[in-house]
Amino acid sequence: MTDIQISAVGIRKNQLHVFAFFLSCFLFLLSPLLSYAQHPELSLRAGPGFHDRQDQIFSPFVHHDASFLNFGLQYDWGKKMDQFIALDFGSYNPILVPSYTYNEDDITYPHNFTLVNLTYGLGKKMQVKREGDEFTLGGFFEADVQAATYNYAWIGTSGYMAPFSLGIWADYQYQLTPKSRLTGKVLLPLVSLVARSPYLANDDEYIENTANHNGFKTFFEFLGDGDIQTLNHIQQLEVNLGYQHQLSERWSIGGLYAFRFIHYSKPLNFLSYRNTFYFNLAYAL
Amino acid sequence: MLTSCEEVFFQPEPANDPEALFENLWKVFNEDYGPTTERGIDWDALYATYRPQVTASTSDDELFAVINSMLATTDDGHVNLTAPGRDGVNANYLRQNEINDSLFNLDNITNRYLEPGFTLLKDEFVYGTILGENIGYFYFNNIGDNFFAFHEFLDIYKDATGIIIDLRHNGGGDFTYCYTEMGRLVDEKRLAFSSRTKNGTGPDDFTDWTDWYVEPEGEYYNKPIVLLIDRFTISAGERAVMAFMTLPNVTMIGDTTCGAQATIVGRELANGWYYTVPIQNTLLPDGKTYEGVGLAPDILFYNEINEVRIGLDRTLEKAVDEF
Repeated sequence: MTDIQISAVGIRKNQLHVFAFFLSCFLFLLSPLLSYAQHPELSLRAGPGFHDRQDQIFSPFVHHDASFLNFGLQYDWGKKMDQFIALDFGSYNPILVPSYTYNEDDITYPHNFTLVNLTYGLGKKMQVKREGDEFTLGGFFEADVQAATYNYAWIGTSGYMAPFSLGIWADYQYQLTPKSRLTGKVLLPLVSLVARSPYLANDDEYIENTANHNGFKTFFEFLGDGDIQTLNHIQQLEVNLGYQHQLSERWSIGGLYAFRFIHYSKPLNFLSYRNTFYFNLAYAL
Repeated sequence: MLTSCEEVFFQPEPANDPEALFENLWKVFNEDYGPTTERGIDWDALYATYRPQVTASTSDDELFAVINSMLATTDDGHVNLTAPGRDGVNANYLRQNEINDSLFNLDNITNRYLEPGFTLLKDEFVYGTILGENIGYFYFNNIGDNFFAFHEFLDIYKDATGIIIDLRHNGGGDFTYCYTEMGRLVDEKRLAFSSRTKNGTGPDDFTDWTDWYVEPEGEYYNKPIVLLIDRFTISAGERAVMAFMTLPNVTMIGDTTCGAQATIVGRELANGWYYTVPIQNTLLPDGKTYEGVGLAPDILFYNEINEVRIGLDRTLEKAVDEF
């Protein structure tokens, strides 16, 4: 009955506190190493992306879409320690077959996936032999919020998949010429608080979470129902490969290929990957 | 990385051929359909009946007909099938055949029974004063944020003799809007219904029961209420009726509701057809389920089609007579 269910929710909400505790520890332990920016850099990126996703809660089919609605903003800074904070957005509208008319004048609509990533990373430069190259190792926190609306003709079902992760990252910058370099960055989430639509998406707990009719409160209700997961249940990987060319003392341009992968097995299989090809513009502040 | 992941990691998808389409749909209903017991459905028996009617050479028209025949045995107003270039099909006999659908006409009410100056939000609600009476009238087309107007309505009619809430032909929506916005109608926490949801593929795989209450909030409104319902009151509309049924000052007039009370989800087939699947069980405080039965009025009363056609709504007149 409801009382039992509320207790269960309470346990999961305690897990949120545990996750917040770990995150606080992560930031606190590294905070003495933070420094004021020496050469902070702000970069903007945008470009086409390709998204493939199979979420068995909503459909047994793999949904594919290509979209130009991919944007990112990143700020890098640091002296003793390298830091970055990045906000990325993507929107995709896959549909199994082209939209069609039914009931004479009604039409079907594609599904929608709105993907938002907020990432903060902190790392330390490691020694490298090759002059001009840089190698950084560090830890990061990422909030990966994926909101979905599955449209089935006259009815739509909303869902969410939102891992909030702590992990490790490595970045290598290879100097090609004095004005150009290749970059490679890998982020590997290790532990995540995963907020995820329930089995069949629309159970009483989900309805309770939305009953406040306030999107902000509902978001935190969903988050509070999340579970802490490690690599045995959730596997994630991000790989960024780029080229950057310095145009002037402050401006540089380049291209960036970003690959993101998520597989999660609870309560039903979820698998998603994205390939995005960004044009990147950076400005040294 | 562009294509190899799909081959390696994604689970196999259902195929797009007539037999696979049928198998996929039947499997979903067999595993996820909530009111199997309430509606007395034997999915294995239905499979034995209908599966042999589908072969590799079955046409789209034939497959559509076979699936609809199978789903029609549920008589569930929450089960629909949509395909390109066709009218969507509902498994409920009354809804599919629009039987008695014309016995309600909102235009009759706004044209004949309300004082001028009523408030209308198209496809959402109408409220105003019954002509020549000190009675408030509120028609809800669906259950959603249109219930936010309910507070203003109660303020306007706080000194009225009573109010009429019209949920006839209410198409449903999100029942929680009704539950959060009708707190002024209760002076104590009242249990409206309990529900549970399928959470596994087995026939007995359900979540625990969740109790849904209407809780007091704001200035208590205890005037007499007449609630109007009909066969086309469905889904969240019925859950709204369940909330009103808990009130001691409510009289229900009209016809029994559709009896499709479970929450639903949508699904898709490989050929792009869409369908809906109810995934819950529902119990009223008396411990009984009214899924497939419907919620009966206190006073059974029908409009006559010949009177509706000349602008009359005798059910509404009957409601006014109750005050």
